[in-house]
Amino acid sequence: MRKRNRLAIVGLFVAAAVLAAEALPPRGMPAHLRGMASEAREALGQIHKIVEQQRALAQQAPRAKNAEAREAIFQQIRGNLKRIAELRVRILEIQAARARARLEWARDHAAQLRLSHVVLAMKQFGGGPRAPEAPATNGPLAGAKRKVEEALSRVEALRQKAAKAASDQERANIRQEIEEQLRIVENQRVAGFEAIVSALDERLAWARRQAAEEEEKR
Amino acid sequence: MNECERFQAQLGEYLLGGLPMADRAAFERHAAQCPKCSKELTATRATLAALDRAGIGSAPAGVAEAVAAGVAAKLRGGVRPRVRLGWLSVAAAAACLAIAALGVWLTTRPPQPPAAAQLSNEQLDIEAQAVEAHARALLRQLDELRQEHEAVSRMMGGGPGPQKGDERTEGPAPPTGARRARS
Repeated sequence: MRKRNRLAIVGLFVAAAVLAAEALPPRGMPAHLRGMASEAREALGQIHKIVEQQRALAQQAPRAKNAEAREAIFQQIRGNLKRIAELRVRILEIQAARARARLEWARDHAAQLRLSHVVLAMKQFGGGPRAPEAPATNGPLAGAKRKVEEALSRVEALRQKAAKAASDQERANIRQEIEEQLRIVENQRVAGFEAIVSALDERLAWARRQAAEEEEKR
Repeated sequence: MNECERFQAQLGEYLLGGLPMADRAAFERHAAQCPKCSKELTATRATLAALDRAGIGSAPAGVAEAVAAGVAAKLRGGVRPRVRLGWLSVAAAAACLAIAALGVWLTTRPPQPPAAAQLSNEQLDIEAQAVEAHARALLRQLDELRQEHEAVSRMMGGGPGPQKGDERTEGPAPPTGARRARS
């Protein structure tokens, strides 16, 4: 009897938590997934230092007095190349894992987001700065970005159309299209994140092959 | 075990009437034959009769209360008494929780969009603005990601080649250094 009572109370707490969570809009990207991971940033810094060293070594090599000195420089360069290859793999591993976690978040976000959530967010936080975004030129995110820009233009046009809407049917159609544009925007977030994941995966595979080759050369 | 030892072991059982019939005959036979055991039996029987007469078999008044007070004192000292929740109290707790959950849900849920028939042009404008703001926020996020991706691309040196149209700034090219060194 006591066990059943406890189960009933736990069940009620869970139900209350679920209800409260359902009411809240999906949260933005968690802080730990924003920006580059500190470990990756440090590794990048190390690569930059090694590259500087490589350049200096490459300049020294032609001025080497004898074959032995040249060989010593060459060995240093080899060691640096191996280290760079290792660091590159590490960075790409970190970034690929991060990109996957972001993609998972983006999928959840897209599944949960409703028009009422974005309206609430705008009322709470305002429309956000209207700073000019960098134009979508190229890169794995370019496609997603272009489609978001198109959706943005479409919504701007819908606003103008909404101001002149004269019938319930017309308003209902506009609302439906606004919701569709919101869906397009969210889907492009997922598409962009997927593109990053696949680009990083491909590079990681290449970096691993390079690192293996460097290892063999030594 | 000899006869006297067996007699001693069975004495209590015999006096309480719990000895089986088969053993009982042997027990009584031994008591009749052994003066020492017979004396023991008589003395024990007399003691029990005296206890009976003195009324020792039932606890004197006040003993039960004293024991209860002692137990309560022990419980206060460490072990907590078990609190049994009846169904009524569980139901009351459930009702409180349900009301609290409903309150949280009602106060925090986003305002539900009006049905199409009640839509006003202003409401539509607000919704479109919200989607615009959302799209702009995503564009900013994609820009941040692009910058981060570029930083990683820059350190790739060689690589599988950027994807079709991938933005790639000239980065350090470690292999060049090696080639120069070789030459």
